[in-house]
Amino acid sequence: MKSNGTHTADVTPLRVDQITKTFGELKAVQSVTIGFHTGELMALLGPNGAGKTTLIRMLTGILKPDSGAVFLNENQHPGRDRISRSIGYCPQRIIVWKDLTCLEQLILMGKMYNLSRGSAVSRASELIELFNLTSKTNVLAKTLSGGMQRRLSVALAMVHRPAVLVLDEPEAGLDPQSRVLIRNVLHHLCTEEGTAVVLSTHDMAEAELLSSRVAVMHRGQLLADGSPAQLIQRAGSTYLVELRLEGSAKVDRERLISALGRLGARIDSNERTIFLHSDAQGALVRPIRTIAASERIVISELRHRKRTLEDVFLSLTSTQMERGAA
Amino acid sequence: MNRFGAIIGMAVKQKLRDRVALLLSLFTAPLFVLFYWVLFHDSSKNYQVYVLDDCAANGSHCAPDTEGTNADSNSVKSSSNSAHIQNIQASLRQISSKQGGFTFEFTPVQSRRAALADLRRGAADVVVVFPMPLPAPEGRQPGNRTAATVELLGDVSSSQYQFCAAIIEKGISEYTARIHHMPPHVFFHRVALGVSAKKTPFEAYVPGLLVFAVIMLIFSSAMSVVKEIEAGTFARMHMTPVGTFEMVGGLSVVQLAVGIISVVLTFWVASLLHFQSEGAIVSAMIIATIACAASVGIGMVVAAVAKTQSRAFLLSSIVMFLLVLFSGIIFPRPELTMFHVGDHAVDLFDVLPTTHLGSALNKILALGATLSDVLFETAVLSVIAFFNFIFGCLLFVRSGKPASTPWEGIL
Ligand SMILES: Nc1ncnc2c1ncn2[C@@H]1O[C@H](COP(=O)(O)OP(=O)(O)O)[C@@H](O)[C@H]1O
Ligand SMILES: [Mg+2]
Repeated sequence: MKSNGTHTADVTPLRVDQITKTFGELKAVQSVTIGFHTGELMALLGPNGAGKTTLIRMLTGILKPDSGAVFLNENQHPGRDRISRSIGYCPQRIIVWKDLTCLEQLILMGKMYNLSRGSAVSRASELIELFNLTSKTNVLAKTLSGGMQRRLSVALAMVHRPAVLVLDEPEAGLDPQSRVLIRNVLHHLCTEEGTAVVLSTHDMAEAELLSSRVAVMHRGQLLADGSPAQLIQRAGSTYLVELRLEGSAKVDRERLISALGRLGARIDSNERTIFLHSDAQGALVRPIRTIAASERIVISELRHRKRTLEDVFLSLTSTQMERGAA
Repeated sequence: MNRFGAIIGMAVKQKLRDRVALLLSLFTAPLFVLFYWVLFHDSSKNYQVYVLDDCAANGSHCAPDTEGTNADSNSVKSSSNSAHIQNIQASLRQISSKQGGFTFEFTPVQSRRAALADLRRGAADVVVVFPMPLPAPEGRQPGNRTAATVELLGDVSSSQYQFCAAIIEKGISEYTARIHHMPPHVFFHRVALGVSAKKTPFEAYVPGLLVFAVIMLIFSSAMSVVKEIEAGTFARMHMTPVGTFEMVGGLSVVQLAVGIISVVLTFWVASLLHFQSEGAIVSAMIIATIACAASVGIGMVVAAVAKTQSRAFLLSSIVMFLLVLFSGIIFPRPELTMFHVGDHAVDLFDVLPTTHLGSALNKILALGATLSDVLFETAVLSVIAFFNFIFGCLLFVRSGKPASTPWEGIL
């Protein structure tokens, strides 16, 4: 599904430099610098309130940054007509014309972009087919299900074949089928049409599955930026062993942690779980069991798995929190 | 009880949190009361009385009335009607200053034809036509029944006319009684202009209803735009190369079409029901159409200011209130002359399209005015329509710049 990072992303139609936005006291976006490349699907990953929407609004010219610059095809402070020609934007909220049919509103949108009637119609039909809305072509949007409306809302942003497609949480509230459909459409756009796709999501599994590049945002800051594999690698080990100790006292847990220290692996822990980082698959499992047995501590669950973006995210944000607390 | 209380609490909190809407609903009526007080508490109404001296107008026919006049007044001695007329005007002025609350402004006219035109234009509230000649005092002996007939021309259905007529009749009667030292002996003939005397309540109400139909457009056009704003489709459209003028203009054209159809339907139904018009219905339709455009323009301004449906609802109600109250279509219109253009006094409430629509419709439908008689109204309505539309668009352009944050919380 995801591109393997082989193609060279040397064209950057859209980039931001040191961009900042504050709302009163709140720093919604703090000095973010990032570029979006042709043929690349970039996921802005972060929990709710991370500043993804604020960043996207600045990218699309809806919101003026307090400081920093937006470059569209290397034009600083692009005007509305440049933005409208090059960027397609699908807002977080589903915005469709409730009292128009799917076909009517896609044609309307085409005409807004100065397409002739003929090409507007053919583009509309193409998108209807692409988003699997054929049976709903002449149905009023208000009668569509939430997922279908979301698909239509995404389609509306693509009418003019923008060089950059910006989608704010396009998969929110979608059923698995629609999710797969949108994923395929976006993948096709990147690889076949060379569109630079930017989307925001708080779903890490989704980001890992979908994107060729991930930018991790947290509290308005850009914490990391790279392919999912790079991020995982950069954050340390590739594998993780999770130990769950149910019903054991805090002292026991701490005793076990110090005993495990002998293994030389990085250890994180929270109330219920101990994490050991490792680069070799399965290497730690046997020694852990031995140590636990010698300390007479019962491990209720031991899982050995490959690290995911979620782990990367959690470790990035926890170190950031520590820094913030310090 | 518990739940009921909770619901009241919830409603109170929500009310308090939309301050603008709350303030609008709380203070509209008190502010109007204050406004009316400011305007009216010591205002006086100025009536336009046009005076036609039939004697002077017919020159040769009218032998100067110089045969040894009464010693009562020196001025009367020298000339004919004009002296009497001067005296009558003076005594009318006395009545008005004694009574207070109104003044008369007298303007001489040269012919009956010119007088009728002035009435149709709405320049005159009443035209007083003095006969040729007013009876000479010594020609009047007790038992000699020669009498003069003074005509009062005007829109007899208007309150201004009725008021002026009553005072003028009183003044002339008093004057003639004084100079003759005997009970007054003048006949008055109130002459209705156009169909104004034949107006049934039905005819009288149709123009007002039409005005309502036209100003309802403010509400519907503001709502149609605000609906798009709230749904986010306006903002979404704004992300495309389409211009604000195109967007607002496109929506306006449809509203205007709805308004025009409604005007045509209103006249059609009225004429099916035997509505009588003195002037050409087509002229009335043209005026109403221009007024529709003005309403749509105002609706755009309301939408640009309000931005949400609940506020647009309140704001357009207030604007419609204003348009009805201060235009003179229901209540008498306060006069606040700002400046003069030629001989036309420009009033503060001339900015309201209903002022002009109401008066133009009345002139056409009841007094038989033609489009050229209501040229002023037509021009002002067009200006109001144009100005409001442009102003509304500019408000959108200003708040719609990508650099600012108009669609915050929408996109
Ligand atoms: N218009 C605004 N006024 C004040 N605060 C805002 C505004 N828009 C966003 N915020 C705040 O900025 C932060 C980031 O918001 P947002 O960009 O929407 O996050 P995300 O899209 O990642 O969930 C949040 O804390 C949010 O409350
Ligand atoms: Mg968001």
